[in-house]
Amino acid sequence: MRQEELIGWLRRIKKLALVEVGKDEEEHITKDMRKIIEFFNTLMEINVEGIEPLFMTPRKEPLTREDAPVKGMEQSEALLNAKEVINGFVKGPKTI
Amino acid sequence: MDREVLTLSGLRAKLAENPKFLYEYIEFIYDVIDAVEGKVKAFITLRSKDDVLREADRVVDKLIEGRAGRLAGALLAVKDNIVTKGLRTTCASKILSDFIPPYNATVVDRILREDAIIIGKTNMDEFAMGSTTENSAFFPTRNPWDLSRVPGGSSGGSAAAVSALEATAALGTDTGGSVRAPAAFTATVGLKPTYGLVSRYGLIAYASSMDQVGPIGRTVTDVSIILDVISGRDVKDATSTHSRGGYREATVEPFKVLHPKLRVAVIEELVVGGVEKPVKHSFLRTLRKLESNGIDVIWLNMPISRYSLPAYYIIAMAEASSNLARYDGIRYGLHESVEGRPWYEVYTNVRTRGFGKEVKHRILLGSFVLSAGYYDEYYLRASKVRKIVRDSLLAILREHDAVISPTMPVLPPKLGERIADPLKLYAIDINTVLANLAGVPAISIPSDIVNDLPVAVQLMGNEFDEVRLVALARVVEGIINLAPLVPPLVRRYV
Amino acid sequence: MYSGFKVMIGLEVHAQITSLKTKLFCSCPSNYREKPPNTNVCPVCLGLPGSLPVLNKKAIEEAVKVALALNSTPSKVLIFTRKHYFYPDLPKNYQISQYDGVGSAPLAKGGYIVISPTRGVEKVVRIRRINVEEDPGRIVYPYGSISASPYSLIDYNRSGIALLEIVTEPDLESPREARCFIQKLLSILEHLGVTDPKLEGAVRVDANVSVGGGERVEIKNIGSPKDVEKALAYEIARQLSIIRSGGKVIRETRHWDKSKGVTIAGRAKELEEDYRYFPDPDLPAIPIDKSLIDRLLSELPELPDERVSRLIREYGLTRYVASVIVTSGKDLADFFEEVVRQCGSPQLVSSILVNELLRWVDELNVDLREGIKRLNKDRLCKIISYYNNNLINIKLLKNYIKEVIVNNAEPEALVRQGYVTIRDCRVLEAVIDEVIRENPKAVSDALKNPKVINYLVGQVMLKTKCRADPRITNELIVRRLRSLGNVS
Repeated sequence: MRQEELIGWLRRIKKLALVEVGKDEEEHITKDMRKIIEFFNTLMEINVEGIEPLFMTPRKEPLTREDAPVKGMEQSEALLNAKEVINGFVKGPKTI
Repeated sequence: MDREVLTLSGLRAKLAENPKFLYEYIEFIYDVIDAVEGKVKAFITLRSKDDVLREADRVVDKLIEGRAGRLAGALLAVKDNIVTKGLRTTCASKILSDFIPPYNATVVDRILREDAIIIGKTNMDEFAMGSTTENSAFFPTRNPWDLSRVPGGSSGGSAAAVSALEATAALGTDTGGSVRAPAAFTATVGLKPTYGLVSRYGLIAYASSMDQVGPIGRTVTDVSIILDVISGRDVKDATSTHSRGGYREATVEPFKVLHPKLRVAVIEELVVGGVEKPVKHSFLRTLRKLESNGIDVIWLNMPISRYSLPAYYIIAMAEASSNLARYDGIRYGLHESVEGRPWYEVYTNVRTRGFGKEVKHRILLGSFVLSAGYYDEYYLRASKVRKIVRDSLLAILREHDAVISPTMPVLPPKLGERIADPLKLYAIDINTVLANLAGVPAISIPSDIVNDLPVAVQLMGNEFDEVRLVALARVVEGIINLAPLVPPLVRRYV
Repeated sequence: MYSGFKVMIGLEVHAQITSLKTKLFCSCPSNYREKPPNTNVCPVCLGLPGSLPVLNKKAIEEAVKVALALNSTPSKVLIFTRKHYFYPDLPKNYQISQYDGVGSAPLAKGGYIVISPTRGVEKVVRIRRINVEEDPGRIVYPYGSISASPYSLIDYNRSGIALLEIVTEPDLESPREARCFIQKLLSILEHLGVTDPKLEGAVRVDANVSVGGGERVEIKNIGSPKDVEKALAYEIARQLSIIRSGGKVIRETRHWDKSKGVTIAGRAKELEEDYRYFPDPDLPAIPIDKSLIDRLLSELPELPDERVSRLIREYGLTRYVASVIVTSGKDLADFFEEVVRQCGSPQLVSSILVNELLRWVDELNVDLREGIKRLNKDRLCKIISYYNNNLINIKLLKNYIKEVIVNNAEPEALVRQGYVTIRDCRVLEAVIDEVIRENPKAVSDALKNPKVINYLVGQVMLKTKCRADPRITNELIVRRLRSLGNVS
């Protein structure tokens, strides 16, 4: 990946992941990223044709749940870690 | 303190004789903590001795009445990515630095039900991303065997606490080796169970398809006792499975469950290549010991194993980018005032301030490998490689009792030695990630002391066959027969 | 076609599976409505660190039932997929949903619904896929609108409720068809007992529309079939005016502002959109075996199309009337059958429901269920018996229905107030005298052209506020005219 391309996708990915990296950090990060992506690219050496992907190890008896209600948390517990609360609502940012 | 008592099983025997010994034991543990914790820094949150003594009263009563649980009196250190109701749980991240969980992880409920006492929450790499415990947002933990070196990670606090006699045993978590690596570097025993054998409910997710809670203890029997308690299906974790149980028993009489003629496989790729000389030589010595004790050692190849590391990192980062999306500072965690500010600005600020550098990198790369146009090339391809890895490893395990390798390819590195270069950091996971990709159990046991530093071997077993894995590990532990491993730092206490 | 431009509409209907007692992935109760904020939550639906989803077993059956009823083919395995986007109502900042891609699968693919947008016309609308997913929380805007509120208030009680997402192919060609489709779909869901569309917020629709092969615009979060029709009509007009003035419609997401009756541009442009789907590792794939499908097929209740056929067969209704009754909602069809069971007269009852009840409910903008509650079985049967016994005429009957629905009047009270047909010849003759006196021209016309008699009858009706018995009135007028001249 060329440096401009790398900076381009970094800009896009930052907006997808909602994570910022400082201008000063950018060069350092793209250097690391380039290394890591090259490391990832070693997988291109393998022929994976016809191979089924494995996303998780298979379960013989996947677990589900009966449709029986259980009382959840008290409001005070639910809001224990929320910093801004108004009348039992969590105060959130502007949604534009 | 009597060396026998340092193990969980030794403590159990002693308390059965004399329940009130628990008070003495607690005093001893806190004496050690007072002396060494300032140097080791294993704990993020340490409970006060008074709190622990108060809880001990209840346990002592139960012991006297003969109705105490299987972990009665054990002072367990719990990794800080396992939620504990009312007890701060940070994941060693700034973004969760004041998070008080309103519920217990299933493993926590299970150890408490068996009358364990939680002594504190241990340091780790932030969100379990790292292999050295240097990536903690708070401070690095140091290796009790050599304070200038890392204890391994990411469960470095848990392993260091056990190693430095600050806890009876500990719970860690293992996504790519995070229980086994620090166990190997601190001369403790660390077990990563089959994926699903232990509930993940309440384990703060890093890479959900590979995360497992695992015990760290001083002996194979100790980790097996804990596995008996924490394993088994949990209605709150859809990936959890039933447990056969009987792990401790299997370590007491291993040949009840093992074939008398044992065959272990050595995958050549895990021994050559990146393994440092002293580690390799020590490993070969260990193999010779096993052979001279009648165990067949079969060398073979698994070419795909060379690709397990990039496949592992692609999958882990992809899942991490998803699992860490929820940290936005609204419902919990690091917060910024929201009034008058658009949500994406608040979220971006909180996440940028709250996550450490390594975490941010992994989130960015994880988002990249899942993004439109790159999914097939990276995430999907890695998942296909994972399939090949699992099938190859299972094929080997069908023919052998276990796969043996050095747990870590290097001796414990100095602080700062690995962390600067991500690929150098990732490289030390080369032998541990296989078990996580394949979902099989693996255990690390101390095998040697080289240059005053611990060296360990790893045994990988067949999935859901922890009974034979711990039995075999017990046999190997017996053959290696190291003297009780107490780091010089705390030797004067025993 | 709209002034020569082809309109293409595709819908994404989100319907809660209201038949479940608990949420999709946790055991919190599903009856979240009316509860104080954040009192119907647990670590799972709040997305607390460490929590994990576990699938509600009954949700599989409910969803598969819907797939079968929509002639859709269920997937062999149920796979959940994470869909990533940040938003304050989404506690994990990803939604557990489904996806049609490698390693993932929607609950079902294909299928169709037949709608009847106008009398005698039938149209097949294809279903693309059906997903099962979790509902986000609810955002309240403290100052009314999004833009006026400097912050949002979040209630997670709804978070995790089971949702079906039913996506059509872009087969619909007018707002009217879109409305018909949704009504039919909701009637099917209601007949299955899966969704109660009357519950507030149980059904929300996203509509995609393009005009003349231009870019497609998505209108998000429309609350009712009627609003879908309005929003689409507005949006088509908006796009047409852009095209006519030589502009180009841009691809975007808009929101339906119900109070102003307009669509407005939404979503911040600062953001990237890329959902980064991948199979949720917390939820192992679950086989949907044939035995389950066979059982559910055999247990399917009577569905709207079958019910329409039966209403035609059993009660002699026309196809149009029967389908209006059934697609207006299961409640109406149930009401029809209940009333007919008690007092017969299926033709009259069906006509009252289709022409009077639906009209007044629409005009008053009240819920159909409320209309049915006011015009209950007892009241309607009473009114019909008045009619059958000639106590009231057809015009009065219509007025009774209106009074009952609009003013919640008791039919007996109306009778007591004397609001009944006048059959007394002396009373009628007095009115007729008046009418004849006041309409000399009409009278002379009527003498030549008997059809004009109807006009005179109408005048009598007017004067009696519809109370005159039309048959008797007619006879009396004819008799009077005869005495005036020679009417055959």
